[in-house]
Amino acid sequence: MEEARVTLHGAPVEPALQQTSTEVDLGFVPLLALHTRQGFYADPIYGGNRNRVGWEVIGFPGPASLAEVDTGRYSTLDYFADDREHPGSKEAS
Amino acid sequence: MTNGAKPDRADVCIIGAGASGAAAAKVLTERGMRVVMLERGPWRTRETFGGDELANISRYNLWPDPLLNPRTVRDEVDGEFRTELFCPVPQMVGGGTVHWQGWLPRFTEDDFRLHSIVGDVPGTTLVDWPISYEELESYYTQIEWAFGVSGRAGANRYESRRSKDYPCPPLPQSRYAQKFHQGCAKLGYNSFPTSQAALSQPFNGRPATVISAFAQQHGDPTGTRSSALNVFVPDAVATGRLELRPDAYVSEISVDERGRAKGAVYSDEDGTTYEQEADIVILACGAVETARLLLLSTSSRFPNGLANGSDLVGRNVTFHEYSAAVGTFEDPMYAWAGGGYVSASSFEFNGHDESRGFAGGGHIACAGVGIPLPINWSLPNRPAWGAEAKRIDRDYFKQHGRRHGGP
Repeated sequence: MEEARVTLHGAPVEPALQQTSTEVDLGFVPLLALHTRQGFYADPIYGGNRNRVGWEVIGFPGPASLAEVDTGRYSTLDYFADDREHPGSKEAS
Repeated sequence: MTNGAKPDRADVCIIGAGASGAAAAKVLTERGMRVVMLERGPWRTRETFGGDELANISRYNLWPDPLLNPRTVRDEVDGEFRTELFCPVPQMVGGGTVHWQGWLPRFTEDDFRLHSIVGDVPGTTLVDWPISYEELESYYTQIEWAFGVSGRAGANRYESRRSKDYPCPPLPQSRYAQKFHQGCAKLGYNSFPTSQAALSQPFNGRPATVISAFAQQHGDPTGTRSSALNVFVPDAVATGRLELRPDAYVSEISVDERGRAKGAVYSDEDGTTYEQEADIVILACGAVETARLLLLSTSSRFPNGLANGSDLVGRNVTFHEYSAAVGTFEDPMYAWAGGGYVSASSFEFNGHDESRGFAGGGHIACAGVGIPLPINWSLPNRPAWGAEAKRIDRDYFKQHGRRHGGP
């Protein structure tokens, strides 16, 4: 069982990096909270993130559809640095 | 358990179709050898991958299922073990390269001779590698060019001699990479675009890699990343000399009367057991499963498993250990862009420095926190629910980043 850590406000704290923890370690209420989160932020095909409302709230420019990802049309390059070249490229070339 | 008819003997039997197994298959088949490669997991195609964070990250689309395929870990030899997702890389054709973003800076000369530099470290079994960087240099070059790696030669001040530039220039600069470069410049540290197993431009008949958000821990639905699944497996298949058997679970290396490896005992999807014999048996199952297979291959001649006269097989295993410092920034980092790992790095602390009080050092780079996507991004101390959790999601999703140190 994950140790029940709580914040000052009394809500349980998520582990910072969750690579080794799994949902089966969670009790009922934390699991319910996690599944609510998953529903709200998952791809809209699941029905919880209707009209991408979850993504809009936090500012995630997700794909218009999963097909956009599959075909490679979905790109996040617009959210890269204005200067696409790493510094030092001129001296190195 | 049923025994199946003995398959035809092969020149080489490779166990594990991941990064090293697939590379070996390519090289050996291209030199004319007949290779059988056994892989415990499935041979998945790109149609089974995609941009679904819930399936890939939260529901283990690629990772071993922690209930069906658990691992145990203990911190001390005599300590209690616990079940956890230790080293949960994909177990399938392509192995860890199916889900990675492929940071590929080279080891330095000194990384191969840490014992010579540090000396004896009490309580450890530290030794130098039996091979040197110089001996490996030409193979690093061959791999970078066969696989398709993007990077810039000479940008890492601490890199050892290289005989050839990278085949592709660095990937574009992400905002988090830019922030990292700026921070390093301020501190007087050398930083460089992280060399990466992806194509910044078309190369070798392949298109440039798509810069998606669904990359880390996601398979590649576009087939454009440099992975063993996308590159080396097809290269080996194209020779007509590779027989790749997925869903083939090897349980033992068999030995001949002289005690030399003669084949692999495996069962297929239906539980039928076979013995694949070969002149050469190559174990390429990663640090954990290779050690496990050696230890499982016991006999009256080798009661402690194969290649284990030292009793060190399976001990001191680490999974790329890292620690992280997490930060939020005034300006957006868009840590999901490129999947969170199109990065910049520094080797400023890679070498050993006695004044730090520990042996060795590590590669430092920047990345998104956890998997920087809406469900699974995180900040330390964020509550799991409630108004504060929502506020942090709204205010910080765009602005977080992580400095990531480790070998």
